[in-house]
Amino acid sequence: MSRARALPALELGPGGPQSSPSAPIRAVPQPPRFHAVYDDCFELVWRTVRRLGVPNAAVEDVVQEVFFAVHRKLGDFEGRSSVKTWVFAIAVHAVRHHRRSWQRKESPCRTAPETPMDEIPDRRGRSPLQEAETRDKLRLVDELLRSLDDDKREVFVLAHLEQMTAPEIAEILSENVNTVYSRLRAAKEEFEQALERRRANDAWRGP
Amino acid sequence: MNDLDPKAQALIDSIRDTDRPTRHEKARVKRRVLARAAGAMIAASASAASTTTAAAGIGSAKMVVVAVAVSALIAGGAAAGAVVSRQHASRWVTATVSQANAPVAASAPMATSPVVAPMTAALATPPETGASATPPETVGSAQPLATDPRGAPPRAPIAPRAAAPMAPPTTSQETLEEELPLLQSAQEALRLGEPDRALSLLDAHAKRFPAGALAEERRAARALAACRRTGDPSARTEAEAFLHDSPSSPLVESVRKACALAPP
Repeated sequence: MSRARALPALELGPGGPQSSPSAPIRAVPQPPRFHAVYDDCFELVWRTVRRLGVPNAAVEDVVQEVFFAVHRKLGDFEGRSSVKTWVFAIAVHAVRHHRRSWQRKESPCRTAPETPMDEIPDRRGRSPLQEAETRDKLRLVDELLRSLDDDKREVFVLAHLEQMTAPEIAEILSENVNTVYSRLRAAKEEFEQALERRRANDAWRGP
Repeated sequence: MNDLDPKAQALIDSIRDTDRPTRHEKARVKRRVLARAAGAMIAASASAASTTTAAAGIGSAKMVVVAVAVSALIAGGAAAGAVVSRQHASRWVTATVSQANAPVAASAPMATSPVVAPMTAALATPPETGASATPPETVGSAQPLATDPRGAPPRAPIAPRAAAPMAPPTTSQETLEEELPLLQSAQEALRLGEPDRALSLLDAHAKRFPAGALAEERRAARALAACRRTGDPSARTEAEAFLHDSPSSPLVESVRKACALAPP
């Protein structure tokens, strides 16, 4: 046995193999518990899956895929990256896979347009006016994100909405950091230009 | 890092924290994930039973192949990508959106040929959702959920924590996380060819969680364990009762095959 590997999370705990009195005492890194990872990352994953363009009807299934993979692979997590980065990587790949299969196959999703983010119900008791403003902004951001290609959308969402660093994004996407910077620069320019165009159009149309 | 212009930044800042899932959505997805993990374990047990039967010369090779294919499908099937449907929040069904949920690593052997994949890996390996920040594992090296990932030989039974005397939980949704380790232990016992121990663990589950979220999976596992126990007069009864009561369960075919029951 070349190195100690952590057991799957569900096998840990009192009575488990690592509590054997005959076991040598040593610092064995234990993987995070699934439930803790779920609690910490669920909202991030849900939001990111949506912002990466998964239609509303499929968000729950994609998020389920993400956490099923997390559940299965958690025992192999070696702590080389943060748990958040690790989970994000799984989420991004799940979204990519969903996107590919959606484009490739006949499915209800194929004809369904991407659900605008403004369809998300307000869940924090905003006033009707605030809610309307938020919906308008979400609709606008959604439209602008859709103007980006998939690669640029990924880096843009991770950088500007989830506020991750370029090295983190590079790790998640398995890309070179310079590639991430380059892609992010292009995404930023396209996003800003699309916003300017949109505002110019709105101004031309008038109130 | 490539700061946005102020207008774009203000727009992004204003919506950053706006879309949040509800607690209900969070709980529902968690139930689906855990139920699916439990289902994958039981289906893996069913497949192990089929394999043992074939090795003993009792079953035909054809039957084993069919059982493996069906079980791989049920096991979360890298091939078909079972998902827990929204309509069956605590269950899991194979869905027609197979490719949408199949492994991201499309080139992985499981994605194209689950039947020829290594038995234990194939049957206990759910869909590979994506690469991770750690080096991606090869499908062939994937481990069943309840086996020792260090590759050690089968170890002594692990007493499940959930078997300890505790106050009865209230609802099935609350118990799912406690039920799973117990079923996992039963699955491990089945995999190691210890149906008696599996049955005692399943009895413990039934006693502690009579109406648990995984009651259907428990009944399927009971039937599988009984069918593996030579000369168990209750085996057929258990299996037929399960098929009768849970005709839409994705474990129906596994039980039918493992217990050599004719299709309807």
